[in-house]
Amino acid sequence: MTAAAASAHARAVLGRIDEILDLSRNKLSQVPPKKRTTSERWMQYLGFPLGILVFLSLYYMSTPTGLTAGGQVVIAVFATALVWWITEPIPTHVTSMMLMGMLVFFHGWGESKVLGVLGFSVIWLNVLAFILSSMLVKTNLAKRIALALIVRFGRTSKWILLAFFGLNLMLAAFIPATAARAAILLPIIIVVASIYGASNKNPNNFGRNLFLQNLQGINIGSSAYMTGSNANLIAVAFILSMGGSRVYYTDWLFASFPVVVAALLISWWIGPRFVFKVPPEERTPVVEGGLDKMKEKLTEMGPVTGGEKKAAIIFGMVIVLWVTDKLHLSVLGFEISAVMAAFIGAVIALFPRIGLLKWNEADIPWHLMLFSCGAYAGGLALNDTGAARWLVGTLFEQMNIQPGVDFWLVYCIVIVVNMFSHLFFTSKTMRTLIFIPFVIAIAQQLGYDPLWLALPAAFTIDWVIGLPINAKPNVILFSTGQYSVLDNLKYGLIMTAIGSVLLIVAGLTWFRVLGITPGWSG
Amino acid sequence: MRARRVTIMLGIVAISALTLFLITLLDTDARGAVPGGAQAIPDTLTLFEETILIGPDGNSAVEIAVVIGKGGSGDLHLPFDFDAADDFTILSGPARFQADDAGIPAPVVRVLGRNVLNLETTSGASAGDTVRVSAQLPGWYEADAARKPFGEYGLASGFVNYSRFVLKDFRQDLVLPPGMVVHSVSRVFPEYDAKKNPRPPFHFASRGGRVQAGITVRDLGPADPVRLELNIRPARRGRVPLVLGLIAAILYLIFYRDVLKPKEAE
Repeated sequence: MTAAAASAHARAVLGRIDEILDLSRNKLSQVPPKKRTTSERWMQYLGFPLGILVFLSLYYMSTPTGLTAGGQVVIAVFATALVWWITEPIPTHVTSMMLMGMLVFFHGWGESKVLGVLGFSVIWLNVLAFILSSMLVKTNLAKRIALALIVRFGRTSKWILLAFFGLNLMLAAFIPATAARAAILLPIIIVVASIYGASNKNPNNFGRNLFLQNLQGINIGSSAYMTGSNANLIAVAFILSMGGSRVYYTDWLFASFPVVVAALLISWWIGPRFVFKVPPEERTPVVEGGLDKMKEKLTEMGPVTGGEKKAAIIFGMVIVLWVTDKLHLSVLGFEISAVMAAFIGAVIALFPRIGLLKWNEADIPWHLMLFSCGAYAGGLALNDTGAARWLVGTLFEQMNIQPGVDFWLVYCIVIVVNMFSHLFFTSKTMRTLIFIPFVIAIAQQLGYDPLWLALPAAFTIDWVIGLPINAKPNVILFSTGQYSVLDNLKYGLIMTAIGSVLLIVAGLTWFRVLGITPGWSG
Repeated sequence: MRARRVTIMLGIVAISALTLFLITLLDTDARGAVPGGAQAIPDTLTLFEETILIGPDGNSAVEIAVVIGKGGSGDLHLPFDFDAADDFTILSGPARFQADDAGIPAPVVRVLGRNVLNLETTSGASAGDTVRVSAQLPGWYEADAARKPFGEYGLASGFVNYSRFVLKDFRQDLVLPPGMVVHSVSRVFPEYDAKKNPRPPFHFASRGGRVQAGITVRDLGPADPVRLELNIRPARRGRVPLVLGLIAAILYLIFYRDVLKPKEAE
């Protein structure tokens, strides 16, 4: 971009702060319009027939041994939907609805099961998260936090991006529910993006970096701690029950935390420089008066209002319930799940006179719920029909890993396959249930300590960063319309490759020091 | 005075506890041992494998293979839960059918209201020997009665171990009629939980160009049930999706050409 063009762009996006911070203009419940590049338009045009061809070829091939015909239908439908989600010939939520319809009409999965997905706790958590998020937006608490963050770190875009990584790493230590973390951060991210000129009507590269780096921070951040996600704990349980090795919290922390920090720092460095290059005019707030105006605006907001205090109390209560989930049973005699904690918060927020929000003010993107439903229905059907297990088994079988193969070759295969497999799964738990026992079985078959392969494989579980369908926070952030599926895939694949390299290097060095992988003498 | 009383009380409690501990220690019956000191080890069959080959007309055949384990010689009454069966043959192994009162070999007898294979081992049979038996099952599978929506057919097979043996390795296989494939597993017992045991008890394989579905259970004790319910369907799929899919793809390419034109925002 020439200097003149850059200046013109800056003038175009330069706006009055009140307009920029008016989030009611960018409602999440409205499907944002999209501008497409030439290549994206061609993908859109060819994507639909390509999806049909993929479906027909998978549907009509003879059923492979070990797979049910129902599982074959599910693989065909899911592969078609993947093509459509990526190429977007039809809106992503319509693809999801088509996926659900095809599962029923081709009898891949039962109608009641398909329709029942809308009642899943994950969907409820998304709806409730958006209600709580709307409360923060309405009371201006989100604006205040975002402005404070920008005044403190926002002199240039790179520091604000780094601040979010730090925030994500800190939150992951206390809140295992990734959707909850996304809900906390979403309104703040939207305000920050607006201040840097990014909105769903006018997405820019700073916005792409901001949203996708937060997506990575939320997901990869979970990998730093053994309690970062339920899937981590399931993997640890498998390593103990099937592999015979106990993994302690500190084992996980010392091994994975440095890898996560390194990955996030690399992402922070390469994102704005190479992946989505942030032009100079997007590196500072696009507000007349710049940072001084922000400080002025924050001061103008005055002391915290009653509404903000109330919102902080309601949201704080939900966060306390999320953070103390392990104590509920001993203190209360029952457990309050992440969904029910959000449920309590949402009911209070919507309660007349006591609460802060009217139903019409709750900005719930229902198209996104349908998109999630389709993704989950496809993922669950893959698991339920045994198709996912068959795919993974066949993959490892095709590799023909035999005793005598060099350990480090097997290690690299396991890390790369586990890392990239997330693109085809919609649930970390499901992926863990399928992959980790396979990895342990391979290790045992080859005569290795299962820990050598299974624990590094477990460190890949939370790297679900490639597509909006891969995890709950991805869906929530995708609702903002500030990046496309292709943007997500591009950055996700780059970081997945970097993550694989990091874990392989760590396996050869740091994990050896910790005794997770065989030592130099072994 | 008070201290003395407390000491006496504590002494009584300690003696009572010691007595209870000794009684528990000496009461071998209470710890699972049989009178006489020997541990009760159940009779076992190392392997019980039942394969049902379903013919295209529903007439089927069953092959049962057992590997004799501990206490397996002598009477070899094996569960045989088929109502109409004939043409019994001992394919191999040290066993014969026991004779009825008239001296005629009776392959199947009713025991406690259930059919059992009326086998006995011949002299010299020992643990590790394999006995293989086959029988014909005329009209065992009635496809018309099992018809379901979506062009599928139900197929169920169950087994209850009403023998005296623990079946160390139980396996039941169904070889589907030619040209049929498994669409889905609708029920399996024992149920399995992927979080506890990631390997499902059922499996699929190919046998002579036909699809074989089966269930495997370890240590199936007396009275333990096993069940596998499947939906099966013809391997060949109808052409309607192919035709509709191709038409939809072509129509999209014709009527959606405008998506290639640049737009400000969609």
